[in-house]
Amino acid sequence: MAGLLVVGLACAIGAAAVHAAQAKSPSPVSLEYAVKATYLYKFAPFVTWPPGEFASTNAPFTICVVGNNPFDGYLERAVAGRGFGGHPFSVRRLMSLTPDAHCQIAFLAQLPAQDIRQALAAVSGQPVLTVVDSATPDREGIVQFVIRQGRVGFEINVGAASRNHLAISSKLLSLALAVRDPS
Amino acid sequence: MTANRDRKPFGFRPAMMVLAVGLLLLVGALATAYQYRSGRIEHRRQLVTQANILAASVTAAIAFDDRVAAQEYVNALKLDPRLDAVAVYNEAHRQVAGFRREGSAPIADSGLSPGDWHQVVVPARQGTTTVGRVYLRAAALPLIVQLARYSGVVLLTIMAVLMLTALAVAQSVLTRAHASLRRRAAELADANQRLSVEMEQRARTEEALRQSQKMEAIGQLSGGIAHDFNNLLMIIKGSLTLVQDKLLRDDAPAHVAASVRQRVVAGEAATTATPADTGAIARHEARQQRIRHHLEVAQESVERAASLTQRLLSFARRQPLSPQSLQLDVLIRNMRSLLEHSVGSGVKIDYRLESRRAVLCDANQMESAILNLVVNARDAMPEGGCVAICLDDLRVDAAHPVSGLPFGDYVQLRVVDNGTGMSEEIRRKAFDPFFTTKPVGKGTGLGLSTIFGYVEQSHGMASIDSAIGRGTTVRIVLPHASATSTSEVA
Repeated sequence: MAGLLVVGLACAIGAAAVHAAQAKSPSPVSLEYAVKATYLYKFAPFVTWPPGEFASTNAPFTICVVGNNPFDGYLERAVAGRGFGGHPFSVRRLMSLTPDAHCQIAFLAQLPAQDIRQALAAVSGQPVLTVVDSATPDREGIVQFVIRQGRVGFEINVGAASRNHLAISSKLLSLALAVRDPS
Repeated sequence: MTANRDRKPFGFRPAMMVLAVGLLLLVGALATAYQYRSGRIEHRRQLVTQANILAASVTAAIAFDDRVAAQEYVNALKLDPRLDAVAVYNEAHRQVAGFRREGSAPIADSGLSPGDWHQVVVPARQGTTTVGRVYLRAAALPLIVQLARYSGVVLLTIMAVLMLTALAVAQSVLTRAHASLRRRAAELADANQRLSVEMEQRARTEEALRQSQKMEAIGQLSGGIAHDFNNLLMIIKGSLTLVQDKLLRDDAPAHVAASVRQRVVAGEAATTATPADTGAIARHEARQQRIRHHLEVAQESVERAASLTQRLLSFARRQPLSPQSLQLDVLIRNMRSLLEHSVGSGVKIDYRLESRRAVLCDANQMESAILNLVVNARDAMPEGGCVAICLDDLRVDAAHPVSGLPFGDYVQLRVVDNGTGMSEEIRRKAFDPFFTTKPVGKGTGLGLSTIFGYVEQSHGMASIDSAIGRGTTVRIVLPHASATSTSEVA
């Protein structure tokens, strides 16, 4: 039953992305977050982590969801069986972001324990791709989800990326709704 | 020259020509096929490169489902008129972007059919992550463009075939010319051969003519001498006979008796002859005896001289012949005991008398000729051997010519021995009068020359075939005496 549900969702993602706002779906997670979950792991190929980031060639690629989890298990199902260059994706839930969290991607939604800025500061200078949810906008994150014209989009702060020693592919930058470089 | 006659100097035959043209066409076809194939591979490679470029550019647009951005990349390819359709699919087999030209079919995300040369698919990868697929389909090239592409090779092939054909034609003309030249050379060689044969024949004829002229000259000379000499001999012989007669008539006893008679008339008693008379008579008789002896010796020598002149006349063909029609086989059979007695016990005579034809000749001369030849054969075989006397019919016509003889029927007599033989030099002189190889006193050197003269006088031909160590064959050919000619002579 759950397998069928996942397949149905996966097929629906593309179509759902276009009409994310209007479409009604029986899925337990909103279409908006389904798209965001997909985007989260799809960022990985377009970002270059510094060498030595992974302890071994098959060490997991960790996506940390910090604070409240808006995906309701959808992200875990979406990344199941996928990987990034031999590193299988793994999803970790954190209530707060700490420097020793060992995340490659950190998604910051609503943080009850610390505010966004503290969380970002905790991993500043560390090779962590910080993704801030559209519901809690903060320009200091590397990737900022935005909702524009009913579509999920994102802005990119290349200054924050370079502080975290990450290189963002120009292809990704060209898709960003805005690219900022405050430095 | 003759060895090369049957072999072509350069075997450029039609089959080789056809083979060469075939090979050329095959090579041309292969080159065209290779060009076609390499052109297709190149075309496909270009298509794959284009697809790869598009795939690399469009990955982010696929990943984040940005159809507008993806379509922008795809639209850039629209500028290439060689592209018929482009499609970009994401992982979920949904088309993200694409275009197709008027009238072309949409591209389905179902991989490629193996035979489709116009369509390529490449994965869209970001790093190691595949985010989708890019399909490209090339427009089919117009036929005229394709033909133009291969026209170079086709033109070259046609040119090569034309050149080869021209070469073959030239070669065939040359070969024909060569063949005619060779034919003419062969004809020339034949003519040369004929000429040399004729020259040889002519030399032989000249030699024969010279020989015959020599014989003629010797014959005339010896004949003339013999004739005059014979006349003189006749006078000498007559005179000798007269002298002898005279001597016999005026013999001594008569002379003595006359003197006695005179004395009786004178009155003397002459009952008996005086002793002085008896002595005179005896002396007279002794003297007469001596004179008679000398006369006989002279007469014998005259006889021998006459015989010699007779033989010379015979050689000179001036002897009186009494020809008659006779069969040589009969003649020879009648001579058997004489011949066998002549050769003695050491030599065997083999008779092969196969002709029954009559010839017109002098029987006595013929007998002496055969005897002469057999004795000669015996002398050539001092250690004994076998003499063959062969008699057979001979026909001289255009197919079997014999030099010096007119066409007609003949009888050929051969006396063959296996004796010492003779050299060519001796053979040539054998018919000359007074030429002999026998020791002095053994032969006169007139035997063969007499036979030669006799045979010539009988309208025949005599010849010798001999080689040292192989024996000798003497051949006498006499014309066949037909009934009419026999009667004419008779």
